Amino acid sequence: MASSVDPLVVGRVIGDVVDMFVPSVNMSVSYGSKHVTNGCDIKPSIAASGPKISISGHLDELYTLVMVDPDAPSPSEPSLREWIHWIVVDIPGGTNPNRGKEILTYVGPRPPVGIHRFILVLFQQKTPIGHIDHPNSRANFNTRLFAAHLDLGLPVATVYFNSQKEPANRRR
Amino acid sequence: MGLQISAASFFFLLLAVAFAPPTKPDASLIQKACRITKYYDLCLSSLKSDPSSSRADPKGLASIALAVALANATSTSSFLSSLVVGSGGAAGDPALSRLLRDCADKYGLAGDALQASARDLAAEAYDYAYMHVMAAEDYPSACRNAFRRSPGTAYPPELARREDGLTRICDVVMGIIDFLGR
Repeated sequence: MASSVDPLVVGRVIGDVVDMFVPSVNMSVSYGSKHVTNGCDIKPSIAASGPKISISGHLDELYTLVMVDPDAPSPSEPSLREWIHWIVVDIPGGTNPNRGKEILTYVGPRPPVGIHRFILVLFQQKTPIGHIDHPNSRANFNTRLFAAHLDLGLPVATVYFNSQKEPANRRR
Repeated sequence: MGLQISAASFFFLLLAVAFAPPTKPDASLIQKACRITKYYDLCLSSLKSDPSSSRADPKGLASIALAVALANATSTSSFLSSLVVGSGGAAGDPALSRLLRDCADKYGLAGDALQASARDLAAEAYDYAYMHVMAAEDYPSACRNAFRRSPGTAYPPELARREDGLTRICDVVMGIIDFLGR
């Protein structure tokens, strides 16, 4: 099982955002026809709307999903780490985030400079969460603290992609 | 008679061309900056609404666009607060009142984020300025979503218009900051 988290270790996702964990749930993420695999490149323009995600697990289980950018505003000076892009709770196992409660609406990647990692972390809940207050600011979110606060434990699945600013087309 | 330009004359001709005053440089700077944004016409009209824009450098143009965005956020926040009072407060429609107050807060936060962006812009910390505008742009949709989650409460059309306006002008600001970074 350790080999399946190697890309997360190499990409420093384990370390910067989450601790070492053993994946126990399958999470499939795609933007349009592009399936997300660890470290792949996704253009901001195709990720402007939320991805299609399906997770394994049983219907009577509930999951929480967060999407964060630990490289905001730039990888060399990530003082806004982590920038929170999406929070969905109470996702029934075997379904998708549309079946959950969206606590913080999805905002697509728009990295101003450099190549940023965008990390989707899935947790299994011990109890239903319902509507919680979303953070007032998207900056300086802390996935570990958030998980601790909701007693979520370690992640059950994580995947990340890279994104950088696209060159502007000449309009007009 | 063959046209023969001596080396010296050619050199002086070159100098004259190099130092000739460019025609309408400031108008084309606004156009260049706005071309990069998603909303060219809105960008043009917003920048031109401030007479100093014709003499502004790219950083000045970003500043002007930020001021337009801030004006929207601030006036929308006040507009929402006035709606709370006008609707009879909690005595009228408590659900609507709560939503309006929540939204007034959100637009207030958008204004705070835009002010933070203006400070970062002045300090030439463009990445931070950009992220603050990204944050500001998010608040109007948070307000709309709050209305959506409350069935039976109509989203005021004037608010929808302002939400659209703020989202677009924030996008324009981000475009100009992009242009700055080139």
